[in-house]
Amino acid sequence: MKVVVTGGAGQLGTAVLERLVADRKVKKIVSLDLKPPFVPSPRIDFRIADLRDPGLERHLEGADVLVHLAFIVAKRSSAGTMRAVNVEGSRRIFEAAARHGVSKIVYTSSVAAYGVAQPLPEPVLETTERRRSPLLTYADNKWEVEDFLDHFEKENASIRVVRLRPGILLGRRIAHVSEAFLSRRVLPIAGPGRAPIVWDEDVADAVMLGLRKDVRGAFNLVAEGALTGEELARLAGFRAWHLPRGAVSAATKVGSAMAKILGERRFDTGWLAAAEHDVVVSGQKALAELEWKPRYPTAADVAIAFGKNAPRGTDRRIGLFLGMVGRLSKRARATGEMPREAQNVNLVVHLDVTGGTGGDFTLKLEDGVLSVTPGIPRPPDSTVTLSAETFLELLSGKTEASTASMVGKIRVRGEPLAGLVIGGIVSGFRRATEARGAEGRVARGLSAWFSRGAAS
Amino acid sequence: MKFSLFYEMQIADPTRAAEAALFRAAVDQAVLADELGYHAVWAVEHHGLREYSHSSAPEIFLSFVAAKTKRVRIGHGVTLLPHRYNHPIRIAERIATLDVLSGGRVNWGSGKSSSKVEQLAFENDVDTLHEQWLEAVRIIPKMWEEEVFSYEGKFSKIPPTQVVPKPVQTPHPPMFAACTKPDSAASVGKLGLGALNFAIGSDDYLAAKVEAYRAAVERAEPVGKAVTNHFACTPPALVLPDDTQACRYGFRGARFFAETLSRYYLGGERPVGRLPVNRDFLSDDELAAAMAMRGESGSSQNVCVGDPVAAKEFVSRFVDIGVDELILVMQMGTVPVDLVTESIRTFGEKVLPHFS
Repeated sequence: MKVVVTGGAGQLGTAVLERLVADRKVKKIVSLDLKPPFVPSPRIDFRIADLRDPGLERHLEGADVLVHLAFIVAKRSSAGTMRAVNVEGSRRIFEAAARHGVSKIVYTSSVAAYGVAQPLPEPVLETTERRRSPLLTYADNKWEVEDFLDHFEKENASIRVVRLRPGILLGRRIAHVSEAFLSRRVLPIAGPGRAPIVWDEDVADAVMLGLRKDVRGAFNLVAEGALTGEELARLAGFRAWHLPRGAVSAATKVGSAMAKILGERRFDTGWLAAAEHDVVVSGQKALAELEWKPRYPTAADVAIAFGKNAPRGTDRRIGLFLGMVGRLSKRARATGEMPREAQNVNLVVHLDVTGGTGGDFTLKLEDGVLSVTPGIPRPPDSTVTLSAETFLELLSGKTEASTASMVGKIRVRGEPLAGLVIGGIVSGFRRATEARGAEGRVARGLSAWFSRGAAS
Repeated sequence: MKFSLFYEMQIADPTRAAEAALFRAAVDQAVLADELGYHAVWAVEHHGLREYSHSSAPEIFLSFVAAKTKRVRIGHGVTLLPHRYNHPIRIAERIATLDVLSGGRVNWGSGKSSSKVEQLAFENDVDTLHEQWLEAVRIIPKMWEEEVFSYEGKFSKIPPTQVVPKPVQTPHPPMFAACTKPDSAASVGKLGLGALNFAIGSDDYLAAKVEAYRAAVERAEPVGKAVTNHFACTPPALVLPDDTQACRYGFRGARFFAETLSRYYLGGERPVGRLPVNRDFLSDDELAAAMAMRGESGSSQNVCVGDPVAAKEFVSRFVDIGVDELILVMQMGTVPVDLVTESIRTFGEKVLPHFS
């Protein structure tokens, strides 16, 4: 099966690509986005593409399924750009997919397609009438795309179209709240309304179900029980911070002031209007018909997971160790600790340290010497995923890399040599703790520091 | 898919008695494998890697196996080709003799050694190991082909010599090579050699490696007279009727295998005495997590442990990946001999026929 994914470089796209890569039936994946994806796999053919490109159609050649995720939510774009990408771009990619004979389209719409900034029935079902949202461009774009799909489906009855309508996506890496807020554990709140939320990986699971199962039609994807912003913040252990609202008549000014506060280039004041109203959505149909099994089934689960996983700054000990990696790798190379195979290989690794005190790092291996920089390389040759807790356990000698990889505490995607490289660095450090003299003393001191709370 | 057995001759607690018991049991197991329809019995060549591999004279073990079996192929690999381990003429002679005596059943694999222990023990020039291997692997098939062989190379200067005997397989036994670097499979494919790989990496990665190998074989400039288009992987394996028992012993064995390997291959030093590695069973939590991970799609935990159902699932992944042969590493240091035998029988009766 060949799958074309738009938005493969984004928050949801990353989780979807991870799943597509792991699916044995999917032989070829084309990722279309403005950037290369985070997910390393020889199965992914990434192409830098804009939904407005005139030559977009060529990317759909030979496709069996289109997964259309790309959508501008809020940041940086004018209403005109948003409409050109979101509405016109979606139309064009759907039509191109039809011309290339795809058998299925999975499109991530949104609960916003039902209409925002207006009272809605409770709960909102898939059959609830959709209404335009003149106050919020994003929501109105979602409405327009679904309206187009109503016609499209009639004209292309052989294509099974799955419309997923998720609530607000929360996850480990979220695009819609700035890092400055996250690291200070502050959650900006736009209004008093209750909103549906959902964990991004659960939505990615639903994308895969939509792709695999013989289904069509719309499915709401929400964790049960809508929360107010304050409830969400409390459960996540964040401080709620209400956006100063100002006069609605001065909407434009409010928008630019808000953008400044939020560190964005633009702020659509429609979000304030949207947050005035409760949005209570039922996710029953997805549970029953898609057999969707979200890992975080209730909104409270999602909120708590968000609190646990939202980045709060890398553990100082991990930061310090990674700062030493360059020197350690030179030492490992000299002692033969670094596998000989790694000495004339160039490798770019995404070190993905999960948990609130983890972080994303880029490890570059060039001729057996490593360098570490913050951030995720696009695209990496490998991704090594482990929790901050596991990292400290490895460094303090409480667990071995061999056991950790066997039980899934360390996972390696892409070129597997990356796992050996990380293992080599850690064991190099462990052996330094056995050394005599000053070096051994320093390493033993660090090891004791690393072990504090590591096994909690 | 072909299924074979892989012998490192591992011993967790080496004594003379344990060594003797291991070698004798391995011969019996090879006879069982012959009866059950396994494709080949492979034995490696390593020197001084105590606990990790006591298979230093595989030619002796394999000729014993050849004498006691009827149809199973004799996987002689990998033999180490840098001269200080084996002069190329000696390899040509020994492989040919074994081929004659086994009735043309030899599959021959070669490599260059990666452990400091053996490199230094044989006073090898570490910087030219690859070149030495490449020269030897090019000239050995010529020794079989040519009535009078002569060669002027960087490492071998051989005046006209009649290398005898000749192998019975024509033009010569299938040739394989060990792959350790990311691009090794493609480079051995280019030489027209079969590829012997560790089973590491997720499915998408391994599939791409197989694909790169096939593409390289397509445009191979073969070192021998015949191209061997064959991709084999060597996963740790233990298959027993009871899933939990297989996992308890299998994961422990795989961990011992991985840790003893890294002691000799990743450590700068040359370990002496009992290796500081895990010999225990995984804790209950670890075992549960490791078992749950087996079924995960796209998992890079490539061990074939469990009951026949789990083993079939594992094998079907490798069928999809496009692998030709699984050389199962059932003989792992901490796994009792009887369980290895039971595993060979269980896999041979319950899993192997399913894929033949």
